[in-house]
Amino acid sequence: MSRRKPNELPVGKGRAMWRSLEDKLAAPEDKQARAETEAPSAGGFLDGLVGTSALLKKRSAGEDRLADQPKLSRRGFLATSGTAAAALSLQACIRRPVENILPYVEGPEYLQPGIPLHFATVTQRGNDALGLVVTSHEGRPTKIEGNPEHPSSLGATDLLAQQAIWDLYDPDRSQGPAQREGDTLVDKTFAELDEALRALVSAHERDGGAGLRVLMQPTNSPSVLRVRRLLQQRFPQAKIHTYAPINDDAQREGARLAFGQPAMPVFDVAQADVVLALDSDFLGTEPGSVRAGRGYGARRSLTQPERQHMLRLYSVEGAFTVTGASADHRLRVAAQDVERFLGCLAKALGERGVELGAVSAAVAGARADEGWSAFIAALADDLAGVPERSNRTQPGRSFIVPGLRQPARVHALAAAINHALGAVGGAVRYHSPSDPDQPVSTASIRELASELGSVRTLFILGGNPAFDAPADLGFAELLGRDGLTTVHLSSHRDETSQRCTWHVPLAHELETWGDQRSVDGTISIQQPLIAPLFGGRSPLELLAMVAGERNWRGHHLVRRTFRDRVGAAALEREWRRVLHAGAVPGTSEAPLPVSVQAEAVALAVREAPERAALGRDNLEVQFLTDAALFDGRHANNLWALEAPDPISKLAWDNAAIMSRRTRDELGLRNGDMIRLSVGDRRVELPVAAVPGHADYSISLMLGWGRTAAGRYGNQQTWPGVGPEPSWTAGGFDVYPLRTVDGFGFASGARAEKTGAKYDLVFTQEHGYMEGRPIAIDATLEQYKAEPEFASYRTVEMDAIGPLWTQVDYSPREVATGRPLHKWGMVIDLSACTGCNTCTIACQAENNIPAVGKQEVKRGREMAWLRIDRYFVGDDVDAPEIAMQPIGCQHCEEAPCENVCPVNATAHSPEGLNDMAYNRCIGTRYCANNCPYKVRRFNYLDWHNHLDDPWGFHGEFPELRKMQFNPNVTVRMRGVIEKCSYCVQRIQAAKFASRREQRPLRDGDIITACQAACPTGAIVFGDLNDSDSRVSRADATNRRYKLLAEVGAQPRTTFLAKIRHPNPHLASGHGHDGEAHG
Amino acid sequence: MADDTKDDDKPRKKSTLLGVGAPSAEEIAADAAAKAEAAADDAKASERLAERAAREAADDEKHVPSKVTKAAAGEAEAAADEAEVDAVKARTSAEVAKDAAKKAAKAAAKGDEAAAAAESKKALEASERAAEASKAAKAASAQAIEAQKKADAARISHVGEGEPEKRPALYLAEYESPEALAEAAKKVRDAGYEKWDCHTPYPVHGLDDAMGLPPTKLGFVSFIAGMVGLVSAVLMIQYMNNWDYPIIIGGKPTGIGAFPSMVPIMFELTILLTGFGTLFGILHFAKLPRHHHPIFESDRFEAATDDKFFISIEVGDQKFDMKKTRALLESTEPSYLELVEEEIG
Amino acid sequence: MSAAAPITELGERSLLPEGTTFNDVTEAVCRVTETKAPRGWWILFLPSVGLLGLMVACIGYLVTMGVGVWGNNSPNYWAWDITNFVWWIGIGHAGTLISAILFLFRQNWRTSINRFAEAMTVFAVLCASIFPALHTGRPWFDYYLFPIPNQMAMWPNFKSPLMWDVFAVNTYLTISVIFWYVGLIPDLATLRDRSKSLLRKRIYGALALGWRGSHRHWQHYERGYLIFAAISTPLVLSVHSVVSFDFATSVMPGWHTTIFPPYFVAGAVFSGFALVLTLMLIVRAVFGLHNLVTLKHLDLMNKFMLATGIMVGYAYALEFFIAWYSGNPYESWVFFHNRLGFGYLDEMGNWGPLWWSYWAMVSCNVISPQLFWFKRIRTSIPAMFVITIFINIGMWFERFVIIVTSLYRDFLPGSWGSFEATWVDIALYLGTFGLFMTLFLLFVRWIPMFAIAEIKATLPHAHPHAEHHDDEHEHAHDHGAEVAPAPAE
Repeated sequence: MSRRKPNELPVGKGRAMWRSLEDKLAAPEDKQARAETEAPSAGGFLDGLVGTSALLKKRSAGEDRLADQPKLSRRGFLATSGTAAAALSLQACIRRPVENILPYVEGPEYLQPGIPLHFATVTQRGNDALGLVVTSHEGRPTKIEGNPEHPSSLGATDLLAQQAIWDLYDPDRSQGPAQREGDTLVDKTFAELDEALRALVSAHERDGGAGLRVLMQPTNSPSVLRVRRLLQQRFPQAKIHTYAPINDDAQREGARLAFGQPAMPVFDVAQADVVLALDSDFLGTEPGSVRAGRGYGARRSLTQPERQHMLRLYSVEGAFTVTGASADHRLRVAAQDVERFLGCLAKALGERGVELGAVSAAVAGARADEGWSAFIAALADDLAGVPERSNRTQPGRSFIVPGLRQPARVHALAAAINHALGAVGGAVRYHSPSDPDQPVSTASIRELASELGSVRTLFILGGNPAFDAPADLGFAELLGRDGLTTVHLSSHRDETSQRCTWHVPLAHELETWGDQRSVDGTISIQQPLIAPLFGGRSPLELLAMVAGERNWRGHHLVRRTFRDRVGAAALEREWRRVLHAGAVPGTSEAPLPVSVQAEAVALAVREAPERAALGRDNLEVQFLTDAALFDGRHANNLWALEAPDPISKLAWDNAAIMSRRTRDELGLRNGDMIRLSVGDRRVELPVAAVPGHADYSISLMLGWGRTAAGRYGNQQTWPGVGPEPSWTAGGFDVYPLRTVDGFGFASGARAEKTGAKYDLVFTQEHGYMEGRPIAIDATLEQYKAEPEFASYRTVEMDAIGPLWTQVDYSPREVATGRPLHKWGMVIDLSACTGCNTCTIACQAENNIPAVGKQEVKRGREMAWLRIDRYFVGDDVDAPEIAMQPIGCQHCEEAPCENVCPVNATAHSPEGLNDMAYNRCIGTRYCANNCPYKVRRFNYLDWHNHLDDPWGFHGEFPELRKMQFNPNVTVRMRGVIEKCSYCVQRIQAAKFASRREQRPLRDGDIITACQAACPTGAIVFGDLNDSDSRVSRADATNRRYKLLAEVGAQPRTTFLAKIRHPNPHLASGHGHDGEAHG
Repeated sequence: MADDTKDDDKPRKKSTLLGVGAPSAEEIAADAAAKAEAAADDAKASERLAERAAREAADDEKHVPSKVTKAAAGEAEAAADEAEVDAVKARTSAEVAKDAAKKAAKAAAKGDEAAAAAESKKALEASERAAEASKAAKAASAQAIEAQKKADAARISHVGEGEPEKRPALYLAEYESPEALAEAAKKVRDAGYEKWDCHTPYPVHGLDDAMGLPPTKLGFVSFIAGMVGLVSAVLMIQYMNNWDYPIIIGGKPTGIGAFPSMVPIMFELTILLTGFGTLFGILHFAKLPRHHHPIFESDRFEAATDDKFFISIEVGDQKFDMKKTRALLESTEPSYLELVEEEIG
Repeated sequence: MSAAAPITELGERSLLPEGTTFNDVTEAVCRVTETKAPRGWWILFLPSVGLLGLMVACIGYLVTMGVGVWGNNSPNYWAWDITNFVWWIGIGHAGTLISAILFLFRQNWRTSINRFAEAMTVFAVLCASIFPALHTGRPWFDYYLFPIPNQMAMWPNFKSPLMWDVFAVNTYLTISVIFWYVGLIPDLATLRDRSKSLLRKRIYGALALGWRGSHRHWQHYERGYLIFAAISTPLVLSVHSVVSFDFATSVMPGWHTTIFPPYFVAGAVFSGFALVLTLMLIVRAVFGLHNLVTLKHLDLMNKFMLATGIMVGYAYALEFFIAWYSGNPYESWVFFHNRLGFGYLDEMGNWGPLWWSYWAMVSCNVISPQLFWFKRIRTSIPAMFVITIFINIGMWFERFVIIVTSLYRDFLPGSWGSFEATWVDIALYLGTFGLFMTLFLLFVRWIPMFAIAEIKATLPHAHPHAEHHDDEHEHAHDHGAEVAPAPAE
């Protein structure tokens, strides 16, 4: 047959054409430039797939490059045009509406169709900034990655950054300004808005802004601070308030207490040997999690136990967090008792020679709970570095990370202890905050609320105080007062906008200019990727308008601030440099020299209130940051709504999370609705028990139950279905229980059963491994004793081998000139925290739809990469957790391929388990036969499903189409899909390497999950390259193949989780035994 | 049916007796009467044939009016008339002979030998007359048929169109039981006929032998078809998955190493093609479908699919002879015998 | 039909009453198609057409919306769809078995039920084929399953058991239709010859292909019939074996089992006989065919069900033995937890949610047919009617148990799920009953539902050797089936 066998790729044989004499005689640089603007290679699509040594060889022989290129083959042409067609038909992926396309008359600068551009920008994380690199396809930002140059990102991102791209294309974003007329918001033009604002502001000129208030969110933007100063100059009487429902006030105030000056800590996990997470989720929801994750990953992922020193992590918390799940020892302590626990610990540390000065006396009376003493003793030994009883190699390598929920006192005491442990200045560094004047949020908004009666004009720059302000302030009601003009800048016409006079649409971070200062002082410029889709304004711009700046455009303001920093002369050069790199190199500041004011800390510690013991009639509620919804601002984000809680795996809702014992004592079952009351405030929500939660404590995720979030996030009955309770989604608003005094947690709560039931959906229904060797773990000691333990616990079929000759994926002979790749992935369970970032990254990269609560309930979620969470250990109530990300394993003897009747899934010569969507007819046999159950099926038209649940062929929101990655097919209903190892990235890297006439290098291809992973648990690369990171990881002795006994020969391998428990602390750990429900 | 066969034994015994002893006058008379009767029947049959020939010749003339057809039609008409006359003659003679025979019998019963002998003589004479008339009728009929054939030939040469013509196609003998059928079949077989058949509502055992049929070759056809299926399955799978477009599927070999996975389809295709081979084999050997067969002209034949058994002998058989064949069939004592005619054209 | 004679050495006798004539048989069978339909027929037909309409509506909805309107999910990528498919295919097997295997084994009594059963096979396979055709995500691309030469040179994957299924089921359908039709030809000729109206004559005449009962035809026909029986027998065994390969060649615990092919075949025969009997009892009552389908027939069929039921029970038991004996934790989990529901409570404190389906299967399939040990039960019409319905239900559950309770908790507990059927699942399943019953009732009305020619051949006086003459009676025994008719002296 004339047809090539696909695994015999074409060699550049036939004579190719040169198109003109100029072409033939062109200088090599010109050819290079042209090659880059043109198709990946003149030699056809498939040539781009193969290595380049053949080409290189030819070139060295001095032959003309173009003359020896093969013609574009028929198949190559089809493939290329198919890719182009796929990209073009993207908008019409499922149904093809009649649409007009228009050519570029004048192409934008830089933009070459089909070649994505990457721009560095930055996003705020509390007092920190996270450097990002955003991918843009033809002007559409489609994917966010971390900026390796940025100190807070180091190339990775967190969950919020991954899902941020969706918010840009949220179809319910506010699309223009509006003014309140009667009960409704009426659309206005920006001209009308500007006119009104000018009048509004100038009215305050006379009295110096006495009746003018601005409520903004905490900022670390130099430009905002600069403009804020301008505003204060213009309106000296005006007051500027700051409020954020989730903030790092306690950290800053704790430092102020301990050191006498405001300061923000950086906990450098990479430099620690022993860390205590004290009610802190520093690996998950707290700012700096990416940086901490990098350190954690580096210190947990060990290949040579003899040489590497492993971090030991303790966690003391009420609700299970990913940090607690990653800890070697975890103690369940209700939030209110954490302070007492720290006192006990301080006392114990003092007994071990840690010099706490005046604090020692203050904590002398700390009273430990039953069951704490052994934990505290071992922990204190470890932190204090008691010889033979500690993991600490030298002073200063142990510290405590207090949680943001805890009061400033706890932070101060922890800071004092860290200081006494020698960590401050080393592993724990303090930097000056960006905004030294930043008030405490709760105090500031309380002050605003109390003064609101005399205020004439209130600007609310971002945030949603009507929804998330402390409930005892009644802020939402205060906004409606007659005579008060309120201007609300917001991405959606949300709960606050509904009560304000003016609504101003907020531009997305990817739409506006800004600047950010990360916690260590590094300055980054927030660079817009796209003009504001609906002409929104940034807080900086609105602030500048209020401040009376004539040119209030963000670009101008930011450049102005930047000029102040670098000087006019260096402006242009530095500006370009920082825009390119994303961060101004060398702007990081030296850590603040701090000294503990022990007396003040002792005084504060003594002020700690005596708290009554918790019990059935004195429950505690603690407020948790939702990993995906944050404070509620991402409540309309489909990816966020469907991202399961990392621990409970609850999706599409929040619930009252409590321990099994508490649930049982209250006479409840999962899904029962309870009326939860603190004082006279009450909310109703369903109950879910999660192992490992502190007793008599109830965790409530903030941000759910929005009423004006948008079509997906509103707590509402499903469109057109009626009030059937099982169809509601969107969770329950728990802000009504949150007061100024009980901002982090509150006791005295009572729960009673309402009798109603509610459907909670979980993406994982079973949480125990049932004795199977799945997420294999061992202690460090076991590992040292038996380095190959992981493979002992699985049955490798390699020794037996199949009856047939296996496919050869090793590098090919030089004769063909093409080294083949052997793609593989290694996932280090030791480093994985289960934070979900990879899942969302995969969703963003690969156009994976969200399916909605009902479909999750049916078990049809589409995540290509899911994270299995297993409870392990003997103690049912305080289990340990093993997280295991599972995507397609790309088995060499793939069971799925054998059973596909139409050859829709087959192996590439490089060992990828490929999925041909347009060949797939959807028998789902492959998915049945997948031992890992990683194949996903488009049961319905998922992309449309949530907007059009009954299949009326409604139009898919135009805006959402812009998010799709054009290099990945948008799957229609009826086909199977699954992890492809980001084949589009593999191909792009191959094209690039071919254009640059060099072999592929390790690291050229970074899969979306790998790029996003904060802890670096995922490594991808070429197993044929023995020097690649993936090869080295794969050669690690704790590597194992999941379900090796099935004999599928998975390409993805796992590195067994190594726990590092304190040998002197008998814990519930037992990786062999399992907790059982 | 069984009773019939028993009754039928009587005359056969008598006829054998005839050859042994000297016949009595009564018997001679009866014999003569019977012969005369037969002659009359023959004559009548000849007349009918002649009439039909005349009618057909007239039809031919009607459809293809020409000199030849007209002459032939006239000739046939004349011959038919002649035959009619002869037939009437024969019938009359036969009546006479019958009458004589009756009288002879009566006389014999009375013991009047002489009268009986006289009557017998009369009967013999009448019988001879009848035979002559019959012969003449037959001759006339032959003439008519000849004329009609001429007309036919003329009509056919004239590319004529129109009403179908009929001609004898087969003799159809009906039997009441499978036993009778089998017995008759053996006779027909032994007589050396080839274009003949038995028709039964269900397959009757032993008829193969009774008819002297060679074993069917259907099994051979089916086997070949099955082997074609087997080979084509192997070739198809090898071509599609190994030669034309091999793909790595589950890391398994594509060539003969994948043999186990080929077995089910090899099997299924073998069965499928065997099935088709058998179906088309049956249809081929049975020359079906054939919706028009002269045998369906017979109304009696409808019972062939119900409860009657038939033998048909086709005109096309080499040994076919209107008389001899009829005689042969008659000798098998069918419950009904018919000359079935088919339409021409 | 050389097998038509009763096997005297087994003590077999003619199954029809003494004195039945050929014409009686013709009359009895043909009358059904020639007279007005009895009221019972309409009572059955109208609801059947209604269900058929439901099926069409469900298919429309399914194709418009996608297979997501079913309850299938991850990990239960297959559920009711393939359950129904296997169930219907299994039903079909009884027809072929009765026709072919019993023919080869010279089981005379099959003649009264084989036509019936063959028709059932054809209709059941039609019903069955709906499910694999529609269970695909994109049914309009089902033609990818066939090796059609195409520009992309994309060929099907012949390693896939589903591909084997395509060939097996299509071959089965084709051969069943041919076999059925070939058997029908002489009977259609009977109807043709009895037809009063021209239209009937034309239609039946066209279908009868000009059959004239010629023995030269019968000779090839009989051999052909034998060949069909000979190829149908391994075919019927292979089809359910191939269907079982869908499961047996996979890696899933609970599926990956070598006992599946014989187990599936036995189960298929079991369920097929049950449905034949259920329908037969109804039709027998509606059309008053007590003389053609006698208690003797029913008794024999019940014995068959008892035997196959015990085989199925044995297979169930052996699966558990292997699950235990192999020491494979995944396998034993499937059997002891997923199916039996033993020893496992989930986080909500419930047993494995589908344990009841296993017990429903065992009680219907293993326990209820044990009643057939008693002759009184075997010959009691109401009892056997109820038991056959139980068996039909039980065999449906068997497939459901194999598919769903294996899939829903397999290797990785993290991917475990549960299953809940939707109304479309149920309605489409009921709808296929509509299709089946509609076709079946049309068949009963318009096509001879008993093999007239074959029944005639089994009458005592059908063949020359078996005549009942007093003086030749003794000869008849000596000659046996193969000798030529006895010469009349």
